[in-house]
Amino acid sequence: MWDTIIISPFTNVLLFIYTQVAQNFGIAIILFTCLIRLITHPLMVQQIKGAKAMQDLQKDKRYIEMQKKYKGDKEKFAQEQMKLYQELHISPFASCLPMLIQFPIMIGLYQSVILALASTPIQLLNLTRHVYPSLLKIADVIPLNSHFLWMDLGAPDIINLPFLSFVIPIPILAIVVVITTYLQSKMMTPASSGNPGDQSAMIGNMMNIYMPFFMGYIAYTLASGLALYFVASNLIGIGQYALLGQLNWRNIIPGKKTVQKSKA
Amino acid sequence: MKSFPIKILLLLVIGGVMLSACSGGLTANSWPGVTAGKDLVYLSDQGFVFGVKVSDGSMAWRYPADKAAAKPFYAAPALTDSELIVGDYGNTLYALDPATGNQKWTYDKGKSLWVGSPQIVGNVVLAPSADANLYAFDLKGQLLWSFKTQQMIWAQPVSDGTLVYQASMDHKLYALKLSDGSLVWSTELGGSAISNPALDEKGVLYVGTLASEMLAIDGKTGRILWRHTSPGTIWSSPLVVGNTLYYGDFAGKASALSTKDGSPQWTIDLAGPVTASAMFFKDGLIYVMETGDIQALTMDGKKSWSHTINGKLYSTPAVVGDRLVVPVTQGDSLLVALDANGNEVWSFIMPK
Repeated sequence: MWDTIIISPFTNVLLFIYTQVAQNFGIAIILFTCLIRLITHPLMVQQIKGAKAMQDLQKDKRYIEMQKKYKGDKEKFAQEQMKLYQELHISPFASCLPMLIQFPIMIGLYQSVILALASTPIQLLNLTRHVYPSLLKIADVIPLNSHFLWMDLGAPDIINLPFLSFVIPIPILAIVVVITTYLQSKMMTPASSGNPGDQSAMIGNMMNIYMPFFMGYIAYTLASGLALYFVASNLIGIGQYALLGQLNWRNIIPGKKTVQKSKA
Repeated sequence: MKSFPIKILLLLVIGGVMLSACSGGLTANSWPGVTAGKDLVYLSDQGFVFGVKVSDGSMAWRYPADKAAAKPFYAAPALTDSELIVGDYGNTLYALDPATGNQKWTYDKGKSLWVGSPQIVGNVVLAPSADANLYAFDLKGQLLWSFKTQQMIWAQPVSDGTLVYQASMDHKLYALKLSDGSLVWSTELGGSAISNPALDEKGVLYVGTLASEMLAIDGKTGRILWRHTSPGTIWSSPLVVGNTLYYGDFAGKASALSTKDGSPQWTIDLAGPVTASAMFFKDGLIYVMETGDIQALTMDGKKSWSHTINGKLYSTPAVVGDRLVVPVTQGDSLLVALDANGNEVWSFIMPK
């Protein structure tokens, strides 16, 4: 089922794009990422709305009073919180949904990249079974050109400094993944509500720290084709937020924090 | 709720560990290769090269002997009286003693997998690499020359003693001088060639491609003499017997063509897709299929006996005397030996 719904379509779209861009697999991954981002754009808009609703809730008098009233009773607070969510039509998961959707896409894309970059006969056999004959001719696609810039997209990205007599492996793409993930997280973090009990802000801050390293670790250990997807996805995500007017440039300046002004 | 961020962190860590377990690069695995000797057959599979006795299927030796030192061997070895040459998927080429499995020399400067089987022509070892190079060594492992193509090489080279013919995944067939590896001609095939061409006594090469074509090529000039479109992709070398060429394809067809002009002699349906070469065995033909079926045919395409093995049959079998030795993928055994009537004589399983 996973193969039919995710792997085969992803692989065929990826290979089709590959045949249209002078058989450059790196460009194909980047364009495929653009396509995925375009399709999931409505989810991003929903995420922004959800995050804003959660932000506004932090300033709501009823919410602030509820926090004071049920300070010692977490269970009661949680019940009242849910009631308030329902009353205001807020979903606490709306801001997480795009991220959750991204995981199967990420896994599907990784498996498709690995499938396409078949390096043994049995892997090639598996690839030919996933190709739609009505869309692609095997003879035109195989073998895939896995080289893009300095990278072999089927292997982890490590570059050795040629001018040194000893080897220092440098995971350039993994470093770029860490930086772009951090930038995306910071610039897309909404302004703080100023409410010290704002849990979504607390979670967001934690994610801004751990997520870049988590993604960097994945990029370091897995095939560089996936790392390329991460970089492209992060940069396109920043672009999408900028177009929607939601980027907080000040968040990346050290010492400057944006704080929402409370309504009088 | 204070523990919620910690729960997220734990989830991320677990997710990261699970994803990283998906391996850093591409996983190396494939179907096995077998080569026939006199008293032993040599199998590359499951991390080892095995010397297996033809008489009863018992293991004569294993390389490496230590199970913990297993290496990813899959390509069928090349054999002379004194050398067994085999490459692994860890980019190293080995020379072993065929009688004992002792290592003689290694070459570890290759930059990719040794998917294709080597070929020994006189005192020259020809070893095709997935790093796109064909390497030539002497019998002591000294590099003589190398020739670079545009893409991975999976096909075994063939030679008439003067020229070497090498098919590459870059859609080309190359003719090189055996003495120094210089290019004589190259011909565009229209599709990747997974397996080596067959060379007949007239100097004509026959090669199948993933473009679902069988081509005949003049060995002296590289000129394409004829081409025949097959129902499915062709993964194996054709078998040439007399004026007829026999092969199977991934559409599950067994076909016979005239070597003169490629005209079809017969085509029959098999039980499953074919990636292995047809074998000549006991005055007939043998086809093995991915479904685990083995089909014996007469030379004019009539079905005789058949046998089914638990597992998948991707690799070309070996014929040793009156035994057909079949490598098995994902089955109970690594090797199965059959007699002339298709009865199992012995099976070789993974030693403990």
